[in-house]
Amino acid sequence: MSTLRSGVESKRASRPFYVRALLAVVSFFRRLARHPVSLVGTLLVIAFVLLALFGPNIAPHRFDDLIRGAARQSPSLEFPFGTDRLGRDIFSRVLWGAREIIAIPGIATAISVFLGTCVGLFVGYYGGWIDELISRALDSLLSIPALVLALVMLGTIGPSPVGIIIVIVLLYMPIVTRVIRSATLNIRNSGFIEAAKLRGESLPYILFGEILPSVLPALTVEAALRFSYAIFLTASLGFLGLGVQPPSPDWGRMVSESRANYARTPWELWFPAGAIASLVIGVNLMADGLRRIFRYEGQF
Amino acid sequence: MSRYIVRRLLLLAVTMLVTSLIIFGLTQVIPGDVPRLILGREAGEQALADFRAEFGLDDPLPVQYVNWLGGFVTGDWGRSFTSGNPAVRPLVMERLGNSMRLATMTLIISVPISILLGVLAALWEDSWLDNLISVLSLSVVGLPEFVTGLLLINGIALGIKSLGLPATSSVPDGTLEDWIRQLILPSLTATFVLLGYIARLTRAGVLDELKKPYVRTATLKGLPYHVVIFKHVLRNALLPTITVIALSVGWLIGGLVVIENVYNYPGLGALMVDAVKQKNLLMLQAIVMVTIFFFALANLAADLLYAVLNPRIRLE
Amino acid sequence: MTPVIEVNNLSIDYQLGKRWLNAIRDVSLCIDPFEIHGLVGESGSGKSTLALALMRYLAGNARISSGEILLDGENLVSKSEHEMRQIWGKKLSLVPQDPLAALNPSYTIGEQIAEVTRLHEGLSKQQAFSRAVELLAKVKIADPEAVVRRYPHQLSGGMQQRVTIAMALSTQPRLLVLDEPTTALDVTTQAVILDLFRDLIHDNKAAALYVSHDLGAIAQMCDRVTVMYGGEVMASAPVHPLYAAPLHPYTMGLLASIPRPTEGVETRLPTIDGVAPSLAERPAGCVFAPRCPVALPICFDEKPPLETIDTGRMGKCHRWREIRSGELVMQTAPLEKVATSLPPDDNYVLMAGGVSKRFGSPSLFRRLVGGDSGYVQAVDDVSVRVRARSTLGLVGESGSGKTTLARSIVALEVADDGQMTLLDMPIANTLAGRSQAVLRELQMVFQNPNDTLNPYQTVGQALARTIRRLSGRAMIQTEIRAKVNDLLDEVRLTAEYADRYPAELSGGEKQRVAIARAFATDPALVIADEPTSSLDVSVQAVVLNLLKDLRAREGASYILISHDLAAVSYLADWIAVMYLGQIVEEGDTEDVYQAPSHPYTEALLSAIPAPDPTVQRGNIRLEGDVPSPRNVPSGCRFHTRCPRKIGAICETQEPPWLDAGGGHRIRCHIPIDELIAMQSTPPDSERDEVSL
Repeated sequence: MSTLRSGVESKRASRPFYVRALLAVVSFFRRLARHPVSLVGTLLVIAFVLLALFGPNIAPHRFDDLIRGAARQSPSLEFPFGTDRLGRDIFSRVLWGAREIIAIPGIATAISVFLGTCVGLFVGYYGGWIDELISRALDSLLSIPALVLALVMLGTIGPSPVGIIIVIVLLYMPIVTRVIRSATLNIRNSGFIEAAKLRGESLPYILFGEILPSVLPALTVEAALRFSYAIFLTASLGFLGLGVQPPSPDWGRMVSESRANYARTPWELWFPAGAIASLVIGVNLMADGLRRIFRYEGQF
Repeated sequence: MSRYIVRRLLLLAVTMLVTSLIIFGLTQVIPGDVPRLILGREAGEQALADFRAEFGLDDPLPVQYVNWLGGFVTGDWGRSFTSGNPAVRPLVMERLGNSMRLATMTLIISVPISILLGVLAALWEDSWLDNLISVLSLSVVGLPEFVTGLLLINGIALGIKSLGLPATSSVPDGTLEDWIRQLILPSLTATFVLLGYIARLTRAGVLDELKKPYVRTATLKGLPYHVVIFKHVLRNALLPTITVIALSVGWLIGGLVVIENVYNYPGLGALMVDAVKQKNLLMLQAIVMVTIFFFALANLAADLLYAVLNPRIRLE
Repeated sequence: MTPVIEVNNLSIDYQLGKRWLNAIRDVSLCIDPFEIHGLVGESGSGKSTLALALMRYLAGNARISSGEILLDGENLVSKSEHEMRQIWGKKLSLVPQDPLAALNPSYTIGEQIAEVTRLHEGLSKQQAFSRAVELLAKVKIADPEAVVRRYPHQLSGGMQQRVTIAMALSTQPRLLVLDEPTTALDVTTQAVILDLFRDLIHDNKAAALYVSHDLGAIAQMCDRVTVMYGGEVMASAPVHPLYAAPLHPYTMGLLASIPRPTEGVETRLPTIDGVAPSLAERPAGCVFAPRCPVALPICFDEKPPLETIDTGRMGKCHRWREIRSGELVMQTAPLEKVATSLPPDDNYVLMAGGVSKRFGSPSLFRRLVGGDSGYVQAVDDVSVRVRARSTLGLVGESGSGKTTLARSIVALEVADDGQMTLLDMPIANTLAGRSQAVLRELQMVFQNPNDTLNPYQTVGQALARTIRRLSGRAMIQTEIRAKVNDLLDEVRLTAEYADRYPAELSGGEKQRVAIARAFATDPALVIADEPTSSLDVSVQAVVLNLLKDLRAREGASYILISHDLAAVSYLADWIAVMYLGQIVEEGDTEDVYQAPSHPYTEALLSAIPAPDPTVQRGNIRLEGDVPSPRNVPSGCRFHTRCPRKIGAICETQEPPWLDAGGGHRIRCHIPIDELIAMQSTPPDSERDEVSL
C-alpha cells in the first residue's frame, strides 16, 4: 500500500480543491527530488512535451523548407543542428518532428491505459469464466511478438498515424489489463470491498470508487512505462520506413535516411538520434521515479 | 508434473492455431490486388489468372486457410511471389539458422554480465555502484536498437578496425573467427537491450529474497556470507531471471528486425521486413508462423524451467 | 550459578532517515542454565528486536549504542561478524516465528538440517543426513526417513515448526531463542508443540528465551518472565509471583485484560486505555505513564529506575512499594456490570437451515482437459439460529468452515444449499437477491483491521457512504455529519477522527471504525469474523467491551467467529463448535464448557494455555493434522484424531446428535453418560508418550 497519506494532509482536507491539487503537485516534486536522476527525467519529459506543443511555433523554418545555398552545413549559430544535403534545417525538422513522436505514442498509451484499466478492473474483480476467457484471449495476443504484429499490421493496412496507434493499443492494452487485473486481484477480497458489497453498491461504484484509487500507483507507473515503450516502437517503425510517411519529419526515419550520408554529414544522424535517446531515457527515469514514490515493484 | 507438461503442450498447440488464424486473417486484408501488385501493370488477364490459380488465390478463404495450414504442417510452405518463385522453406530456414546464431552469441555475452551487475547492485543496495548500474540500465534499456547500433558502428567500430565493420551485407561464412567477428556488433547491440532488463530484474529478485526470513535463518546457522548468498539467496532469486532469459530467446529469434536492418544482417527479421514491403504473402506467413512458434516455444521453456527449478510447482 | 547469557544496560537505536531513534533502552536480562525465560510484550514493545539482538543479530539500520551481552562471560558486542558466525548455530540458535518463510523453499528438509552439523561439527554429508533423520525422530516426526527428503511446503505448519526446532537443537546450543514459535499454529497443534518444546529444551540442558505476546503460553512454558513495554523492561520475576501478585501497573493491566472462560456474560474487561507509543514519540518519563491509571506527576517527568525488589525480581515503577504493601489498589477484577439490557428473548433474528457450500468447481480448462474435480466441501449441511439480543459464538480451528458459514449468511459467498430467514422473512442466498432493507439488517465486521477500511477514504467518508446508501431516505449533509459523529462517539472516538485516513489509525482504532460502520444502519444482526485476532490483548479487551456495550445499547445480535474459546465465551451466550464443515456440538456457553463435551471440544478446551502457571492444562492432545477438506474422513469426521475413539463404528457411521439437555447437543457415538464418566478421568495418555 502506498503511503500517500501523511498526518498533515488530512488536516488540510477542508481546503479548497485547487489548493490541495497544488500542494499535491508540490509534494510530488519534492518526493521526486529525493532522487535527482528521476527529477531530471521528469523535467526532460516536460520539456519534450512543451516542444511538442510549441515546437513548430518556435522553429526558425518549416520542416520542408529548402534553404538555398545552405546544404550540408555543419552546426552553427544559424543552424544549431546543421542542415542536410537538401538544405533543410535539422533543428527545425527535429522540432517539427517532436509532435508526432509524442502525440502518437501519447494517444496510443492513453487509449491502451483507459481500455486496459476498464477491462483489468472488471475481470480482476469479477473473476470466474469471464476472467478466464478474456485472459486467454489477451494471452494469445501477447504471444505474438510486438514488432512482428506491428510489421504485419502496418504492412497490410499501410503505414499511417492511426495504424500505428491501433498497433500500439493492440500490443499494450493486454499488458495494462494484466497489471491492473493482478493489482485488482490483490484487493478484491479486502474488507472494504466486501463492506461495499454488503451495502449493495453497484459494480461501477465498486470498480471506480473503491478499487481504482488503490490501483492508481500501479496504473501511473505502468502508463509511464508503456509510454516509453510506445515511443521506442514508434521510432523503430519510423526507422524501418513503416512510420509516418514523408515529407513529415519522423525522427526514426531521419536517422535511417541519414545513415548513407554519415561520412559527410554526421550531424544529420546525431541530433534526431540524440532526441530519441534523451526522450526515451527521460520517460524511463520518470517511470523509475514514480515507482520509487509509489514503492511499486512491477514488471518493467 | 507430467500432466502439467501435457497441459502446456496442448496450450502451445492452441496458441499456434489461434495465432495462425490471426495471421492468415491479417494477411487477407491487404488492400489492392496482390497479383496485380506483383506482376505489374502490364500483365495480361491470363497471366493474372494463372498466378491466382498457381497460388490458390481463387479458392474460398476457409479452403485457402486449410490448404495453407496443412501445407505448413507437412513442410510445404509454398513459393515466394518474387521473381523466380523460389520455395519459401529453404529461404526461411537459412535465415532462421542465422538468427539462431545471433541469438546464441547474444545470450553468451549478455547473460553473465547482466546477472553479475544485477546481483552486485542488489548486494550493495543504494551504494554509488547500485545507482550507477541503475541509471545505466535505465538509459540503455530505453534506447531504440538503431540508436545503440549506430552508436556502436560509428563510435566503437571505427576505432577498433580489427573488429571489421560489416557495412555491406554479408552472410557470415568461413572460419569460426569470421563468424564471431560478424556476430559481435549485432549481438552487442542486442545485449544492450537485454542487459538493463535482466540486470534490473535480477536486482529486484535478489532484493526480494534478501528480505525473506529464510536468509536470516541461514545466517543464524553460522553459514559464511558467500554460502548464504550463493547457495540460499541466488537459488531462489534467479528463478524469475531464468524465466525471462528463456522468454527473451523468442524475441532474439524473431524480434531483432531493427538490429538486422542496421547491420544488414541476413536474419529472419530482415527477411520479414522485405516480405512486408514486397507484399510477399506466403513468405510473410511462413516467417511469422516460425517466429511465433519460437516465441511460444520460449514461453513454454520458461514455464517448464521455472517448474523444474521450483519444488513448490514441481511437486504439485 | 553463572548465567548462560547476561545482558547489561543494552540500548539499541534505529536509523530513520538521518535520525537515530532509540528502540531498546537500558535493558538488563539474565538467563540461567536450564532456564526457560519468557519475554512478553505487545506489538511494538521491542521484544523481537531484543531477542535477536541477544544473538547479536541486528537489522541493517540498527546499532547497539551501549551495554554488553555476555554469553558464558564472553562479550558478544565487541565480536566481529566473522566471529559471530562461529557462534551462531553452534552456541546460539533461533526457532523462528513463521516456519514456512524461515525455511528455504528450494532445499529439502534434510539438506537444511544437515547444513548445520556439517558446518559446526564437521560431519560428512552421509553422517549429517543420518543425523538429520535422528533429529527428526527426536521431534516426534513420524517417518523421518521420508520427511528428510521433502520440501518445506509439503509439510503442515506443525511439522515445519518441529523441523525448525530440530535444526536449532542439532548442535546442542547453549541458548535457544524462540521467537513466537506457535503464533501461526492452531491451538491444538500449539498445545502439542509447546509440550514438545519444553521437554526438548530440558532434555538438551539448554537455556531458552521464549518470546511471545501470549500470556497463557508464557505461563505454561517459562520459569521466569520479563515484561517489556515501549522498548524497556517493566518487570522481571519468576513466573509464579509475576502472575499471582504483579507489582507493575502494566503487568496488572495486561493480566486483567485477558478474557477468561469462567467469567459471566454480564461483566466488562478492565482495559488499558490509549495506544503504545511509537518509536518517535516515546515519552520522557516512564514510558507507560500516559496509559497508566495510577500515574503521578513524577511518572511523567522522571524515568523510574529498574529496581531489585526481591531476589530475581525487578520492577520499573515509582509506585511498586505502595502496590506491594497494598496501599494502592488497582481495579483489575472484571466486575463492572454492562449497561443493563433486556435479556435475550426467544424470537430468532436469524435462522439458517441446511447451509452447504463447496468450493473449487473445475475451471474451464480443467473441464476441457479433465483431471480431478477438486471440490472442497467447506460447509456441509449446517443449521444455526440466533436469538434476538444474543450472541452465537462459532468456534473452530482453521479449515473448520466457520468463516465460510458466516460469509454464506451475509451472502458474500453464495450458499449452494440452505434456507435462511431474517426476522421471520425468508431471504435470498445471493446479495443481488436481497433488498436494501435486508442489507441494512445484516452487517459484518471483518478480521483484518488493515484492509477493512479503504486507504483512500477518510473515516468520515466511509461512514457517510454507508449511512447514505442504506438509510432508506434522503438526508442532508449536516444530518449525515451528525450521525457520523454519533457513531464515532459510540465507539469512543472523537469527532476529529472523521477527517483521518486509515493509515493514521492504530489497529484497534480501525477495528472500532469498522464496528461503527457496521452499526451505521442499526442492523439486527452483526457478524464479527475474528474481530480481535490480530489485536494486542489490551486492545482486544477494548474492542470486546465495545461489542458488549453496543449489544446492550442497540439491542443487536451477533455471530462471533473465533478460534479463541476464551474470547468467544466472554461475549457469546450460545456456542457452536465446528470441525471440517460441520457442527459437532452446540449449546449454552456454560454447558459447552462442562462435561459432557464432544471429544473435539474437550481437546480444544484442554489445549488452551491458561494465563496462570498454577493451572495445569488438560492433557488431551490431538495427534496429527486436520485432514484436508478435499478428502473428508468417512463416518465421524473427527475419528482420525479422536482420543476417545471407540472403534470401527466411528470410521463407518456418521454419529447421531445426542441430546444433553437444555438444547445442548453433541454429535458423537459415545452415549452421554459415558461421555460424562470419561471426561472426569483423562484418557490413556500413552498415545503421545513416545520416548525420546
